[in-house]
Amino acid sequence: MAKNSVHILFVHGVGQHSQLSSLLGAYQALRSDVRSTEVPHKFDDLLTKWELVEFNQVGPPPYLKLSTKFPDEPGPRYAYVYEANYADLSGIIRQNQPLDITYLFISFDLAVNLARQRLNKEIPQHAHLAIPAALGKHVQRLAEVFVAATVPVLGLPSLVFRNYTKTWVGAFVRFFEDVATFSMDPQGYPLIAKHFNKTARNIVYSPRFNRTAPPPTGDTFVVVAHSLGTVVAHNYLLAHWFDNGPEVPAGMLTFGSPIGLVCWMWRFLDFPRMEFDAKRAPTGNEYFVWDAAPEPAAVLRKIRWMNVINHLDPIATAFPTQYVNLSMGRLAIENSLEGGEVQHRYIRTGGMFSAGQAHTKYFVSREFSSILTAVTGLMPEEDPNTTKPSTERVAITHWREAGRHLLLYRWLLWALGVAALYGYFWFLVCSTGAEFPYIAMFPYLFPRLTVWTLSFFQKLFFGRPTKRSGATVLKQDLRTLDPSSFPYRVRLFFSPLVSFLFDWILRLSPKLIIGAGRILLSFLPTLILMVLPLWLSTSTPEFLTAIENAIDGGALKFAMLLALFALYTVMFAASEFMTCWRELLRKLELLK
Amino acid sequence: MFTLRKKTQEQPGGPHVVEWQPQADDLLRKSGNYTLDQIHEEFDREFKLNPDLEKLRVDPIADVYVTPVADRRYSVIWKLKGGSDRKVAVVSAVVPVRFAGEAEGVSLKQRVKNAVLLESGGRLKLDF
Repeated sequence: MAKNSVHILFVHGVGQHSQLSSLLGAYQALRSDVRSTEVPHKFDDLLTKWELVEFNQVGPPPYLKLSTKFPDEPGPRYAYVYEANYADLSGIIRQNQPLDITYLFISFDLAVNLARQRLNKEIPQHAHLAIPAALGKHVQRLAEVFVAATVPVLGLPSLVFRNYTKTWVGAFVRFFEDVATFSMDPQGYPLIAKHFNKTARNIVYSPRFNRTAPPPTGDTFVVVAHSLGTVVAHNYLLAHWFDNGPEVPAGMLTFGSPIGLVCWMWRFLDFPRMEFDAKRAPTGNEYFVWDAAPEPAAVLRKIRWMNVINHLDPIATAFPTQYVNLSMGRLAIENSLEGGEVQHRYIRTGGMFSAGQAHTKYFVSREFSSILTAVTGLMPEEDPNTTKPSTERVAITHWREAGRHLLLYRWLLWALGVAALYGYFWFLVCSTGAEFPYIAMFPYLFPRLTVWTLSFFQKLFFGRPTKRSGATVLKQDLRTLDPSSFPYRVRLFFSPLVSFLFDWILRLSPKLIIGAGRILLSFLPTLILMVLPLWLSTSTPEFLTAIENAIDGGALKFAMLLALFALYTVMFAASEFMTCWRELLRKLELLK
Repeated sequence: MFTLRKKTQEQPGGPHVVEWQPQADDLLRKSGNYTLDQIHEEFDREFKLNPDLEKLRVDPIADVYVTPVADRRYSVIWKLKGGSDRKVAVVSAVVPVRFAGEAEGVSLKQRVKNAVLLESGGRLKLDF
């Protein structure tokens, strides 16, 4: 007979989320078919046995209270639905101290360079490090895509088509700002963690929560988290799991979770030989701001953890159970989880072209909603002895399909990029009157080379030593002949001269010149790539005449040239991204 | 010229039929005619294809069963009649709950009766 209550806390991911948006978004997805454009119908309701009895907008935190219509049935009597909303807090933190996305990506690229090269040095003594080193190589390529993406790739489209792209570019920047705030900012991280902690405590220590006995008599606390919210929730779990108090959730449902990515990066960047050690002495160059949780002295309360991965969600990882707590041994973790592991579930909300939205489309899936209602106890779970055939998507199908789609995606983007490039060259010939062979297109046909070239200049111009990777470390650990670290070494070599020039410019007029100079420098690699074929295939007077003709051709023609080249760089950067993503899956042996 | 013919209810899978009692439809109509149509269609199709469809026996003596429908959000309560060659399912109620697991101190029969009583506001009492 239903007696206790279940308290469900929804945690949002990165980006702007207005108050109540996560709470109502999740609630509506469970009670109506959010894919439908028709006004919701009772038939769409997944929570048929529940009725809303209270909406408390004050809280804290605000909540919805549901009551079962059939109290004889097993399961909770009441359900409280809450949200932890740290979006405003995170937004204010970054508003008070905006981050430069160019430097953020370059410092990430630099950190990956250092970690990768340190790891490479260890391979002769520790052969098992060859696999993470190979993964690191692809992470490096991904970092270069992001470095190139800031201004050289996305700069032109976001400037020329700013009326159409500002929302998307804003979301892109906010995404990485939020990740940096929670993982790297020593002030931002505790603010968000404490905010989350307070929200959870307000729930479990409220008069609504029956703490007198464990479930099923006492109340149950379940955390449902998305994207970066899963990292926030994971952090919270590790901080409270050892206390065994009511703060420990009985269940965790994570979806679109980057925990696998984040834990791997943490080990890769901050731990020598990737060996996690909670008692390690700090090197002072740590990239992540987190403290490693110590190994628990007592047996932990068992929790149930389910993780859902959507098809072509670039953030979602089916992380190994070890990542639940890096300080604990495998057996101890298995004893702390129901079923001995994190249970991964795979869903598919879209086809091959869904990669752009897969991360945010979980709630449109009725399958996901069914998992959610089962994990939270809002609806009974599927009986394992049922005669109904299972429609569950299996991991092997999921990853193979992802690999196939990524391959197709990669080549499709490449073909679109080549078409845009051809269009650019054709238009260049038309608008400049110059004649040059189309063979000049050849070096432009390789996404890796295009991205590397653009990122090379970004690193050269902006790849200064950072507070986490100082000049001494760079000189000591960065290899000159590594193509990814070469621009940093070149910059280091010329840095005395550059510093002298910089000081001189600073004395002239600081802000205006620096600001204008930065924008020009950022666009320079793209502009060089744009005019290089023309310059190489014509004499200097012809080249100057051609440029003059292009400018005289009018703003429309000039905008067309920019648009075609921008399209080419965007398509090639995306193609390179897909290649790296697929390669990472392949290296992780998920595509077998 | 033209003759209007009544549409027959023949379905593939044999001579098995489903009879929907008016009170079952009245109860289901609370969730809208669309819901009623969807559940009718699903249960009719499943039963006619296979009368041994997924079901829970409500009572060890009476031939009364519950079958989950509509993604297991609703339960059809029905009584089996007829012989082995022609089976008839007489549906007496449909409630928006799935009878899963076991409830402490309450039999499935009682749970089903209570659910119907609650959903109908005390108007429908099952007689088994």
